[in-house]
Amino acid sequence: MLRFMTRRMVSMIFVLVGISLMVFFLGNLSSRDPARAALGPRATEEQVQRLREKMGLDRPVWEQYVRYVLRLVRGDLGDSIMTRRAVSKDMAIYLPASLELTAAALFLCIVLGYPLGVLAARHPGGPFDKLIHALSMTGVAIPVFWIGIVFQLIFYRRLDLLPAEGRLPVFGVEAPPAVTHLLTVDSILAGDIKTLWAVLRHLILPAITLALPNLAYVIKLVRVRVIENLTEDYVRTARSKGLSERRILIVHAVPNALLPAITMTGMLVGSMLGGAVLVEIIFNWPGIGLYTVRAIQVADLVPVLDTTLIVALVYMVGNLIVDLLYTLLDPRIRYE
Amino acid sequence: MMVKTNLLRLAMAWLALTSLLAMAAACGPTPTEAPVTKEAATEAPAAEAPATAVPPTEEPAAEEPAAEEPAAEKPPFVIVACDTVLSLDPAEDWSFGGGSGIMIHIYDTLMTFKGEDQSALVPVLLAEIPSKENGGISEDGLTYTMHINPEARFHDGSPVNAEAVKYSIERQITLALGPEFYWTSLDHLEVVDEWTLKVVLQEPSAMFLNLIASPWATRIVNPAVAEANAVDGDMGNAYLYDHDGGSGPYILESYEPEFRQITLVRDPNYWGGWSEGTHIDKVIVRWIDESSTIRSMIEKGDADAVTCITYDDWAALDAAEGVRAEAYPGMLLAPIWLSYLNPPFDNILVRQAMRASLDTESIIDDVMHGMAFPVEGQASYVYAGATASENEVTYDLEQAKALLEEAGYGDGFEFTCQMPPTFPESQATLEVWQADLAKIGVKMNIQSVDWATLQANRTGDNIPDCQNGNTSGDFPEAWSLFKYVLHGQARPRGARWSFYQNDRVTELIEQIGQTYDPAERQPLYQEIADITAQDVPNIWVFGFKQMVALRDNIQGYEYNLALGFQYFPLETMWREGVD
Repeated sequence: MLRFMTRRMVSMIFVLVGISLMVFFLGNLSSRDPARAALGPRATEEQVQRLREKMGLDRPVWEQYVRYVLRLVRGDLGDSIMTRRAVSKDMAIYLPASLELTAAALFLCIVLGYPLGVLAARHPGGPFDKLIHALSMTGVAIPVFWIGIVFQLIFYRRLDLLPAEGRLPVFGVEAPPAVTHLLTVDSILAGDIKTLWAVLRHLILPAITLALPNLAYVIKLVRVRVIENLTEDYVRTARSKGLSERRILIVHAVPNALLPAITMTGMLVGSMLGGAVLVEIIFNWPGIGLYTVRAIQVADLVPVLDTTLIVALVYMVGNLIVDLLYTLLDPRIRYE
Repeated sequence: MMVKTNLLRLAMAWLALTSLLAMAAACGPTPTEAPVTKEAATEAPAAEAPATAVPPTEEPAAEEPAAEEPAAEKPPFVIVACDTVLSLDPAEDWSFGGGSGIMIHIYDTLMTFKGEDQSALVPVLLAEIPSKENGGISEDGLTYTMHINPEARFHDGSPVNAEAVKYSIERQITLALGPEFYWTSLDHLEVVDEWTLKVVLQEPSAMFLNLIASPWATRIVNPAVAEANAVDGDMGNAYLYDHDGGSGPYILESYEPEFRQITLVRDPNYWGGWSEGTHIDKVIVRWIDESSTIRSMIEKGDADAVTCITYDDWAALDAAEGVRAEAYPGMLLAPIWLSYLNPPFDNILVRQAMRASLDTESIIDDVMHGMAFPVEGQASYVYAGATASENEVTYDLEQAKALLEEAGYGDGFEFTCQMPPTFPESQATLEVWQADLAKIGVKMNIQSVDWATLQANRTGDNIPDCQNGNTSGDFPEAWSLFKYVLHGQARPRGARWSFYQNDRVTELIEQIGQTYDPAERQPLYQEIADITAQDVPNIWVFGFKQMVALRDNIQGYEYNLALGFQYFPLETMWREGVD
C-alpha cells in the first residue's frame, strides 16, 4: 500500500507539473497584455509598464514560469492583477464557497442518485423506472442556467420558500467566525443554528441546480450495474435458497454494483468544482468558477493557473480516495 | 461482508437524516431577508446642525414620521449593482460604476457636480470654488488657492485640513495605481496655513477644476489612518483596500467579497450635518451578475434600487407593481472607430460613405428599444459645448453609394469589425449596419473579441480596421471627451482608436482647454464640429440611456449625470413608510 501511495503521489506531481506547463505557456501564447487589460485603455504606457514590472511580466516567459514554480513551492500563489491582491487571499474566499457548493451537490447526487438508481433497477422497464429515466434525462438535457432561473422563479418569486442568491441573506444573519470559511462547518463550530439554517437554505437551490445534470449519470450507472448484478449466478443461487428479493437487492446486488458508481462520484468532484461557473453566476455564488472566468477575460494568468492546479489536485485526490475506498468495499482489491 | 453491511447501514441512516433535513428546509419559514416592516419607524433625532456642506440640497425637508414607541431596526437600504469594486482605496479605485458610486459616500471630495445642473461645481470639502473673481485662481491660471472648510472632519474626528488634502493628492501620485493621471499637470502643492492649500500647475488649464471634480481625483484620505496602517511603504494601500479612511456622510462598516457586498452606515456626526427629516441609516451594496436575479429581487422588495438590468428586465419592471423604472441620458457613448491607418478608411469619402450607411434611428428604436439617444456632432447633447454642423453626414444609402463610387470603391470592399463585449446589443447593432453595408456592396465581417485581445490589437501591430465599443468623457463638458477621441496626442491613444490626426482640431481642443468663459468656447466647438463633420473621425451610433429601477416608496432620488447611474444620492434619499 505504501508503494502504491508513493507512486500515486509522484504521478500526481508529474501531472501537476505538466498541467502548469501547458496552461502557462498556452496562456502566454496569447498577445493579450494582462497589465493593459487590468488598467484599462486610459492608462498611460508608463502606468502599464510599472504594473508589468511589478508583476514580473516584463521577464522572459521561462523565467516567469520558474519564478512561479519557486513561489508555489514556498506556498505563495502569487498576486492577481485583477483583484490586486494575493491569490491566496482570493482563494481563501472563493475556494471554500466552491467546495461547499460542490460538496452539497455531490451529497445530493449520492443520496438521491444511488437510491433512485436502485429503485429503478428493481423493476426495469416499469413505470417508476421510466419516470426516473425521464426526469434524469430532463436534468441532463435542459441547460443548467435555465434550470437555475426557473428554480429561482418558482421557489423564490412564486412560493417565497427559498432565497434567490448568495451564501447568506443580505441582512439579518451574521456570518459565523471564519475558521474554515465553509459556512456550514463554521456555523456548527460556532453552535449557531440560526446561521446554519440560513446557510442551508441558501445552499439548496444552487446545489440542486449543480447536481441535476450529474444526477442522471449516477442514476443510470447505478441502475445498469444493479440490473447486471441481479442477473449474476450468485443472485440466482440466493433466490434458489429462498432469500427475499429485498434482501438480495440490498445485501448482495447493490454493494457489488457500487464500485463503478463510486468511481464516477469521485470524478464528479473535479468536474463540479471546475464547472460550476453558470450556477455561480445565476445564484451569485462567489466561487472559483466566476473568479477564474474573470481572470481569463483580463488575461490574468496567475489565478487561472492556480485555480487549474487546485482543481486538478482535487480531482486527483478524489480519485485516490475512491481507489482507497475500493479496498474497503472489495477485499479482493489490493494495491501492491 | 461485515464491511458491506456496516456501510449499508451507515448509508441508510445518512439517507434518512438528510431526507428529514431537506424536507424541513423546504418547509422552513419565510426568508428573513425580506423587508421586515413597512410600518413607520421612529427615527432618532437627526443631527442638530442643519446641513452646511454635502448634501447641500435645496429639497424641502421630509415630514417627520410619527414618533411613538421605539421601533424595530429598520431594514437596510439594499442596492444591487453589477460592478465589482476592486479596492476601496481612493488612490486605487477608478472604476466607473459600482466602485465610484460607493466611494463618494465614504470619501468626501473637494468639490463635485450636482444633480441636473452639471455646469456648476459645488464645494464639498472646500469652503468655496476657486475662481478668478474670488481670487482663487491666479491671473496666469497657474495657481489655485483652495480654502478648505474648517468644519470638515474625518470619521475619527480629526480635521480635514490642508495637510490632509496635500497628503491625499501626493499619495495618489506616489502610489500611481490609476487615478494619479488627473494630476499630470500638477507642478507642486503648498500648504499656506491649516486651511489653505495652493495647487500650482505646470501650465494653465480652464478645465482643471472640472477635471479634479471627477469622482476619482480628490477623494481625501485620513493621513493618520493611512500611515498608521502602512506596510512596507505602501501608504496604507493594503489596509484601505477594505477599511475606512474617509470623511464622508457614510462610514464603511464592512467589505465582504465572500458575500459580494459592502455595508455602509450613516455617520450621525457627519461634519456636513444632515437635513431635517429621515435618512437611510444602513446601506448594503450587493453585486449580482444575473439580470433576472436582480429583477426578481427588486420585484419582491428584497432590493431597493438596482442597476445593470437588461432592457427586457427594465421593461418588465416598468410595468411591475411597487417598482418604478427610470432611464436617463448618460455620458457613455457607443462609437464605431474606423482606423485611418487601414485603407480604405484613410479616404474621407469612404468614411463619409460609412457614416451615411449607418441607420442610427433604427438601431436606437429597434435594437436599443429606445434606451439610447442620437448623437449629433462629435459629442451628445449632455455634454456642455456639444454642437453639430450643418454639414453632418446622415443616413442615406444612395449618398453612401455615390460617395463610394467617387472614392473609387464603386465595387465595394471587405473589412472586419472587431466587437468586444461592451454591451449586450453590440452584435445586433453591427448586424443592422452590416445589412445596410451589403446593399452598397460593402462586406463587413463581425469578429467577436475579448477586451484583452482588443487592447493588444489596438496597441500592437494588428490594428483593427474597425471596432466598436463605448467611451465617455470625464465630466459633462465636450472637451473632456474630445481630449480622448480627437486630440492628436491623446494619451495613451486615449480612445482615439480611429487614429485621427488633425492639427487644427488638436489646436482647437488646446484652445478650449485654455478658455475660461464657456461662451467663448462655443465658436471653437462649432469649428471642431464643422471640420469633423467632413472627416468623420468617430461614427457615434448613439448615447446610452442609463437604466435604474427603484422601489416606488423611495423619495429623494436624483440622477447625477457626472457620477452616473450607479450613484445614488443616499444623503437625500429615504423610503416612505420605512425610514
